[in-house]
Amino acid sequence: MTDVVSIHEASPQELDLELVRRVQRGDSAAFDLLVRKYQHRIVALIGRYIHDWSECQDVAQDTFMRAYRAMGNFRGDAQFYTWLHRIAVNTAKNHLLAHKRRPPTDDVDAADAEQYDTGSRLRDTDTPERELMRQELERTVMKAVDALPEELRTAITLREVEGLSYEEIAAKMQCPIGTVRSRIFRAREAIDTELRPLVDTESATRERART
Amino acid sequence: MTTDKIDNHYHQQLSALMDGDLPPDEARFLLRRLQHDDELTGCWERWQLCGDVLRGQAQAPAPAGFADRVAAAIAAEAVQPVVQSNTARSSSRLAKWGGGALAASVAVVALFMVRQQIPDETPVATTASTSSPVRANASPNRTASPALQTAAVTVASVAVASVPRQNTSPRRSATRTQQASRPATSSRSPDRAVAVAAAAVPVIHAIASTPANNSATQRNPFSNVQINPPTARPWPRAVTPQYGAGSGAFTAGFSNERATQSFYPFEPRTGETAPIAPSEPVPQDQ
Repeated sequence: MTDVVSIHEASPQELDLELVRRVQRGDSAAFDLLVRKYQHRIVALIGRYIHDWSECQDVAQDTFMRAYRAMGNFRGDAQFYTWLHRIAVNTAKNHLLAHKRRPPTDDVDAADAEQYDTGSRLRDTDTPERELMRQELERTVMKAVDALPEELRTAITLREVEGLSYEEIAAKMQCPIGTVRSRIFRAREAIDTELRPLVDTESATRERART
Repeated sequence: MTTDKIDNHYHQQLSALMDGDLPPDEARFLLRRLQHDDELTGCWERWQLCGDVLRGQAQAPAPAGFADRVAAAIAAEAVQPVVQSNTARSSSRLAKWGGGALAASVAVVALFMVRQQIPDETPVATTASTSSPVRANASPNRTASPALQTAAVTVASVAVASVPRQNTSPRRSATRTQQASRPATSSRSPDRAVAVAAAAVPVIHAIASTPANNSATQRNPFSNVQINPPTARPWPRAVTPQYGAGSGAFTAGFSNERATQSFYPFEPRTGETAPIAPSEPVPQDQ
């Protein structure tokens, strides 16, 4: 019954809250979903403080470990990503202080991190391989979106970029909610068809590098 | 429904779940499926990456396998999220103090029973119950009274029963240094449990080896009131030195005939007492 109340008409933030509740009840698989959802944003955020790519990954992993340990303190007053953002910033600053390096004076606010592209410092110091991978990702996704039919492209853009709900998209596109749901799903499937080989290739490359 | 159609159905549900548009019962089942369906979990991860790229939030996408490394680190660390909500804290505190209160109440009840059974040995029982179980068992008295044995067994059993509860709730340390020292700490706990259990075993053996007639001679199982014949007690000689030793001049006592005539109205009549002859006249109250 608790699940019914918590997930009913849930926004993505409320889905996060439900996953947090599951983690607090001892479901570590729910935390794995949160990690997979926010890993790219957290790594990008920490990369603004720590320029070394290897250190950046370690601090990002430490951030998630700290978040998991402190999950019992999360009450749901703020959004989960805002809370996670604070942990990531503090972990990155502590890492710099521990290595006798001065953290940057200008903090990256969570709202600013959502809205503005402030990662130029990371790009200056990123490795060529990482920069190539990032460009390849962007090119692949944008190319897949451009290749979508008009109604699918509009639906996925309104959802992912504008952040509108299904009801708002249905009102804007003047179609039933079920049609919106189907269009967004088909758009994701089409993009994933192009994105999956790239991600799998990166995984295979990483595995080869390990062995 | 073929496998592709089933997968397509789950993928469609996953898309709706990501946007918070999945009905609650379906969401519950899908979240459960995500726990063991790697293909669906990978789909969740790629779709999140797709959204981050579209929003420009993936300037430095995490490397492949990053989430797996985090999951492995959490599993290796075996850390549980510390829920420090007020209810959980109060419930754990209640459980902690409730166990102590339960043990104390059991000890008090055992003492009360001992006090009712044999008043003369109450100080001995009190000493045994208030001391630690290890101290009580350090020199087991094989000729101890049943009251003392009952108190000792009660205290020992409460101590043994409380050991598993203490061992099943180890403290979760927060730092890796403390976590590295956790195996040594946890290895000490079984020793402690074994020590307490071993300390309790002599008490049980002592009671098992106590002669059965010891308790049988002390108590009448068919009577709830102990009838002890009164014994003569000499007057302290230090108080009356002028009367010499062994004279028995000021010895206070009761006659033995009077002790045998003591009668408890609810006790069944035994065969030793002669039945009342029906031919004799019954004395009438004046």
